[in-house]
Amino acid sequence: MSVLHKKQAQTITDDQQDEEFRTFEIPGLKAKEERKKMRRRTKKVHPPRHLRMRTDQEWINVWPTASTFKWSAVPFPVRQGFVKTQTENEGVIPGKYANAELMKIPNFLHLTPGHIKKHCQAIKKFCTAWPRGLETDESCEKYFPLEVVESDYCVSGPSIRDPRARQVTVKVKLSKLDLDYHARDKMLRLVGNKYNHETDELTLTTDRCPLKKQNHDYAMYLLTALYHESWAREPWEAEKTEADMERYFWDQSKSKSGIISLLTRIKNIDKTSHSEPDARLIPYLPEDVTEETLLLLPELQTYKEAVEDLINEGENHTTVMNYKNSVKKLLNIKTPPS
Amino acid sequence: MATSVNSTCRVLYLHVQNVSRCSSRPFCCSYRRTQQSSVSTERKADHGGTNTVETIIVPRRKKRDSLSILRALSSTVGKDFTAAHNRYLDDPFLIPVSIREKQTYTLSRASGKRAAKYMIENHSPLFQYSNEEPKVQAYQPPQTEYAHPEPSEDALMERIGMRRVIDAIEVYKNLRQSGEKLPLETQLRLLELLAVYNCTDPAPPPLPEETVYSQDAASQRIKLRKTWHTNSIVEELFEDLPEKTPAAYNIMTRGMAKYLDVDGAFGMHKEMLDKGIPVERETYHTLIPLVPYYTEKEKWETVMTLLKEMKERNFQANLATFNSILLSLSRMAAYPQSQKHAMKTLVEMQNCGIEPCLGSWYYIIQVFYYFEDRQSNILHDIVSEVEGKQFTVQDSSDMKFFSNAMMKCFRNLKDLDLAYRIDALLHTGNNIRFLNDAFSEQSYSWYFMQLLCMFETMDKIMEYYERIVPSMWTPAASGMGELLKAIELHDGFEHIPRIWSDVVMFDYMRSDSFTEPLFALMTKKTHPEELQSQFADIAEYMIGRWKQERVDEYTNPIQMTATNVSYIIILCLRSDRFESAWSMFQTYKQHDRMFSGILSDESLVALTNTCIEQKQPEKAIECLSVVGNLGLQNHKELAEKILTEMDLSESQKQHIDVLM
Amino acid sequence: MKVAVVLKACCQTVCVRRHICGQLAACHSALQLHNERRPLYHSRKYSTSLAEQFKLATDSKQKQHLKTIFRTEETDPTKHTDVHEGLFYTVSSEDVKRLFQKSLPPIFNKQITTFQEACLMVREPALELFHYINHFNYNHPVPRFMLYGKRGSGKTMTLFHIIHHCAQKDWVIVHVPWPAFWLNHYKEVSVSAHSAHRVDLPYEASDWLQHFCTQNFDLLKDIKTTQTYKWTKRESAAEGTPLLELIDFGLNRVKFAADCVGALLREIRVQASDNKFRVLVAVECVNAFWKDTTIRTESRDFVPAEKLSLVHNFKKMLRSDWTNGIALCTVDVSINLLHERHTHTPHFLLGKKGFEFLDPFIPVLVPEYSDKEVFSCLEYYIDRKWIQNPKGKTDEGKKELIYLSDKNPHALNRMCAPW
Repeated sequence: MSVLHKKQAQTITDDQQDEEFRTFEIPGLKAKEERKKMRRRTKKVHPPRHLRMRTDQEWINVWPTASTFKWSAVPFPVRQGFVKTQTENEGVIPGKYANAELMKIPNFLHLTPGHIKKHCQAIKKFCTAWPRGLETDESCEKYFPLEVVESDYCVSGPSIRDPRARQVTVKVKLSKLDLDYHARDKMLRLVGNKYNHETDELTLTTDRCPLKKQNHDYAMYLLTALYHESWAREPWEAEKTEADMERYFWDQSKSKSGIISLLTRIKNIDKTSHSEPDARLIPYLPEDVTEETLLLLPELQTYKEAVEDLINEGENHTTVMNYKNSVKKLLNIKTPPS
Repeated sequence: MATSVNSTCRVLYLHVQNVSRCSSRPFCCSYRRTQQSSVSTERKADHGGTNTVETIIVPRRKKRDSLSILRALSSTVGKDFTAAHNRYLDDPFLIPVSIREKQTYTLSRASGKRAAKYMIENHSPLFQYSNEEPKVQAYQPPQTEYAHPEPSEDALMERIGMRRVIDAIEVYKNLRQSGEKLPLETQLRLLELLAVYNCTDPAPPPLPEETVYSQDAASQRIKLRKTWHTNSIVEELFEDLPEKTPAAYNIMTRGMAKYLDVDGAFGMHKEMLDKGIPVERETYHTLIPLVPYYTEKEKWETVMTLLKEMKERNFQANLATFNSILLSLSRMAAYPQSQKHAMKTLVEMQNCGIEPCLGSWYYIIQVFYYFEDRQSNILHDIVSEVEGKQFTVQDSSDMKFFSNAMMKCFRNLKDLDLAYRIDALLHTGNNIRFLNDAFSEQSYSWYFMQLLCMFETMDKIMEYYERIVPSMWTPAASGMGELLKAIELHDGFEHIPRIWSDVVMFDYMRSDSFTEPLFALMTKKTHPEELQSQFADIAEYMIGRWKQERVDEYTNPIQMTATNVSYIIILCLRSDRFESAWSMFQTYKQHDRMFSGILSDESLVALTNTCIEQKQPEKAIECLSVVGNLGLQNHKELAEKILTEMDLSESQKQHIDVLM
Repeated sequence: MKVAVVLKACCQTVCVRRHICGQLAACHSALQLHNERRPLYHSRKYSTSLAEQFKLATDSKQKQHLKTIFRTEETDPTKHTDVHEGLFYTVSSEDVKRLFQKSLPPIFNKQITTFQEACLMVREPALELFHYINHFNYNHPVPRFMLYGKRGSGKTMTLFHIIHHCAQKDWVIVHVPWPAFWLNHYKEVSVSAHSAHRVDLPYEASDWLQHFCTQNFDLLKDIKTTQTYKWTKRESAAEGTPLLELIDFGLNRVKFAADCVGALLREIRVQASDNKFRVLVAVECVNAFWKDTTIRTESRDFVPAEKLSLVHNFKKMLRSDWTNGIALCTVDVSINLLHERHTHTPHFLLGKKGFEFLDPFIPVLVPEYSDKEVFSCLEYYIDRKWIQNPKGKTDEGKKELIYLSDKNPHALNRMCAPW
C-alpha cells in the first residue's frame, strides 16, 4: 500500500510539472474560509418629519392639495387593515408605516375645516350676493322653473378632454308648462319614460352633439318642439281608438250603451207590471227614459264614477265596494240589514 | 394615480326673459317667437289673480380669468418648514440630507429627463402615439428634417427660424458661392442670428434642476473675457451687406458688446457717431456696462457722455437703462466716487418714476459694500424701502439680491435685526423664488447662521437650526464648526446629540478635523448622567463605525487621531463603560500606526485609575507599560499607585519593577 | 244528558235571537247561561270573543257541548240565516249525488268519503246572496253576481251552498263546473255544424248534458220545447219535445251535443222569461270564457274560448236580456299563469272584454275565515278526527294552525292533513 502511495505521489509531482492536475480535496478535512459577506452600506435615514412638526403649525401648509397618504408627514397615529390570525403582525392591526391600505384609499387631509375656511375666505371675492327674493326652494322653482345640469371633468392625465362633459340635462316640471288635458296627454306619450310621475318632472338628457353648447341648444329646441307639438292637434288624432285611450272613459265605453239599454228595458218592464208592489220597482227612473235623462240621474253618475275609478285607479277594496254599492243602487237590489 | 374631480354647475334660467338669450340660437328662437305671444296671453288669462310679477335681479358675474380661482387658493398656502424641496419624493428614505446627496438626487433627475429626451429624439417613430389634448409642442419630438434641404432662401429662413446657426452659415455660404442674391431683409435677419449667437449653435437650455447647481464658488470668480469671434462669418456678412442700415450697425454693436469685444463695440459706436447713424437705446444699454473695461480713466465721464447722447436722441430712460448704469457702477465699485454716483442714479430713477427692481438694489449693495470694512446704512434704507413687497423677476441680477444682502449684512454690518428683516422679506409672498440655486441658498443660510451664532441665545439658534436644517439648507462642515463654537459659548451641550445625528447623516464624521473639536467639546466638562451616557453612546458609535469600516474594507474609512481616541476613552469612562474604553485602548494598541499622535495623559491616567477600581491588575500593568512607552510624566506616580492600591502577584510586581 | 242535547238542539233551531219562542222559556233556564254568554252574531261584524268560546269549551264538562258550537242541525239551506253563520251543516247524500256529483273539487270529494258526510260551512257571502235572491224583483232582467276572492277562500263551496239553496226551492240549475277544462282538457274538436266559424267540443257538451240532466231531472220532465230545432236535413226536434228527449238525443248523437246544449239553453231562457220556472245560472271560473284555448287554427293561432260553441251559448245565459233568473259566477285566479296572478279582483281576471260583457255585476267578496269561522272549522276537524295529534287540539296548536294557514280555508285544510 505504501508503495502504491509513493508511486502516486511521484506521479503527482511529475504531472504537476507537466500540466495542471486537480488536487483531490477530502471534504471536511480542511476548514473552509468563510467568504466575506458584502454588506451593503445601510443608508442613514432621517427620522420622519412628523416628529419635528409643532402642534401649532398650519396644517394647510403641510397638506395643501389632495395627495397620497404620506406616513412620515402625518403627525397622528392611525391604523388600518385586517389581520386574520394572531401570527400576522402579532394580531395587531398594521400601523401607518408603509401601509398600502392607507395609501390606496382617498384621504381628505386636504379638506379639513381649516382648509375650507381659508379657501372660502380666499374665494369670497369672486362671489356675488344671492338674489333677493330667492330665499326658499319654492321661490327658486317659481321664478326659475328650468334646471340645466352640466358637468365638467378634470383628470390628472395628458388630455383635458372628457367625453362625459358634453352631456347636458334639462329638467322642468310639467305643472309649470301651460298644458291642457290633451296637450299633457300628448306630451306624456311623446316623452315616455323621461317623465317621473312621482315628482312631475320631465328630464331631457342630450349628448348627441360633440359640444356642450350644441347639446344645450338642442335640449332647448327639443323642449320647445315638444311643447308646441303637444298643443298641436293632428288630423290623425281623431282616429284614436279605444285601445289607444290613456284612461277609461265611461262615456265612450260599451258599458254606457249597455246600461242605458238595460235601464230602458227595466223601465219598460216596470211600466207594464202592475202587480208588483212599489218597492220592487226602480223608483228613481224618470218617466221618459232617454239617454239624456238617464245620464242626468245621480245614481248613474255614481255608477259611472265607480266604474271609472275601478278601472283607472285599479281594484282595491274601496273601489270594488264602491262599484258594488253603485250597481246595487242602480238596479235597486236591496242590501241585507246589518 | 389619476384623480377625477366632478363638478356640476347648476345654471338657473329665467324662462320669461330667455328671449334675450335667444339671439345666438336662431332655430330655437324662431320656433319660440311664433308661439311666444300665444303662450304668454294664455298664461295671463290663467293667472287672473296674480297680476304683480316680482322681478328677480340676478347680479352680474364677477370677472375672473381661468387661473384666478387657482391663484386665490394657492395664496392660502404658506411654507412648510419641515418639508424637503418639492423636487424630492416625500419619504424619509428618499429625501437627500447631505450636500452630496442633494446634488446627486437633483442632477439625477435632470439626467433622467435628458435620457428621456434622448430616447424621444433618437427613436421618435416609437413615440408616435400621443393622446394629449391640447398638444404641447415642447413634448413633441423635435423636428429633425428640414422642409427645405436644398440651399435656398427659404432654407435659410427656415434655419434662422429654428435657430440652427451652423446650418444657416452653411446654407449662406452655399448661396454666396452660387452667387444667389439675397434680399436685404433676409441678410439682416441672418446677421441678427449670427450676432446674437456668436456664430455657434446655442447650447440647449439647461433643465431647471441643472440651473440649481450651475453656480458655485468657482464660477463666481471666473473673470469675464472676450468671446466674440472676430474676422468670422459675421463680419464678412456685415461687409457684404448691400446697404449697411442702422439696424445692421446696431446689431453688430450689440453682438460685440454681448460677447465682450469691448474695443470692437466701442469702435462700432464711434463709427456710427461719425457716420451719423442713429444708435438705438438698447445698444446704449449694452455699451454702458462695458465702459469700466474700456477706459482706465474717466470712466464715469464716459458713461455720462453716453447718457448725454441718449438724451440728445430723446430716449426715455427705463428700468433697463438704470440697471445698466448701476451695473457699470458696480464694476467701478472700488472707486470712492461710485457711491455718490449711485445715489444720484437712484434719485434720478425716483424722478423718472421708475420703481427699482431687486437687481438695482443688488448693484447698489455691491457698490456700497465692495470692501469689507465699508460701513454704510444704505442696506437698512433699502430693506425699509423694500419691506413687505412682493417682487417679480425683471432682471437676471434680481436673483443675486438676497444672498448678497445677507452676506453684506454679515460681513460689513453684523446686524442681526437687519438679517431678520431680510429673512422676513424673503418669506413674503413668493419672494422665496429669488433664492433658486443651491449656491445662493447655501451662502444665504450660512451667513444668517453665523449671525445667529454670534448674537443669539442657544435656544433661538437651535430653533432656527431645526427650522431650516436639513429641509432648506445643509450646512457645510465649517458651518457645523460655527455651531459648535456657539454651543461652547452659550453652554448648550444638551444639543450635541441632536447635532451629532445630523453630523452622521451629513457624513461629516469622516474627517477628524471635524470630529476632534467635537469630542474635545464633549469631554470638556462633566455633564448630568443622561447627557453623559448619550455622549458615551456617541463615542461607542464612533468605535463601532471605525471597526466596521475596517472590516468591510471601505475605500475611504474614518480616520481618527490618537487625541480622538483619548477623548473617546474618557467619555466612555465617565459613563462607566469600562469595556468599551478598554476595547478602544486595545484597538489603539493593535493598530497604533493608524492613529496619528499619541494618547493623552489624562486618558491614560483615567484608564489606569479605572483599572485599579475594577481590580484588574493585568490591565493596569498594560496601561502602565504604554505610559512608559509614551514617556509620559505620570509614569512613576501611576506605578506607585498600582503597587500600593492593588494586590499584585510576585510576577506582576516584578513586571512593574522592570517597567520602572 | 240526551234530553239536554235534544232540548239544546231544539233551542238552537228554534231559538233564534230575534224570534225567541216564549213556550220554550222552560228549557231556556238550562241554556240561559249558555245563551247569554253567546255573543251577538251580526252578519257583517265578526265578533270574536275567542276567550269566551274557549272558556266555554273548558268550563263545560259535557263533550256534547263542543258539537253544538260548530254544527248546525238545519240542513235546509233556505232556512239558513245569520244565526247559522260559521256553522257546518250537512248536505244529504242524495242531494250530493243529485246536485254535485262529479262537479265537486277532488279534495272535497275525498273529504266526503273520509268524513262520511258532506258538510258545508254557512258563511257570510252565501247569506248575503240568499238575501239578494229572496228580495230580487224577478221581473227585471237577470242580475249578475260575481264571487271573487283569494285562491282557496271558499268561492266554489259558497257556490254549492247557493246551488243547494236554489235547488231546494226547485229552481232550474244551470251549473257549469269549471269551464277551464274546455280550454285544454278536451277530447275532440270539431267544427260546429250550426255555424262554421265556431268550434265544437262534442264530448264535453255531452258530459255537461248528463250533468244538467242529473241535476234537474225532476223538473225537466215537465218542460217542453217551444220551437223546432233542425239538426240535419233529416233529423230534427219538433216543437213540444220534452227536454229530456232533447238531452237523450244529445247524449246519443254526440256530434250534435253542442247544438243540443244551445237549444236547451235557449228553451230555458225563453221559458224562464215566461215565468214558468226560475233559473240559477252558476258558472265557476267565468274568466275562462275570455281566454285562449289550446286548439290551434290552420294559421297556428290559438282559438279563443269565445269561439267555442259551448262558451258562446253559456255567454248568452249570462246576458241581461232574459228575466226570472239569477246569474252567479266566480272568477278564479288559478287559471292564470303564475306571472299573471297579481290580484284576484274581478276586473283584472275578467279582462276588458269580460268586464264589458258582464258589467254591471255585483261583486261579492268571499273572504278568508273570520276568527269564529276558523275555530269552528278546527273544531269540526277535531270532531271528525282529522286532526290526530293531541297537540293540535290544544290552544297553542290551534293558534299555530291558524297562523300557518293565515285563515285561508284551503290552506287550513291542507295544513291540518298531516296533523
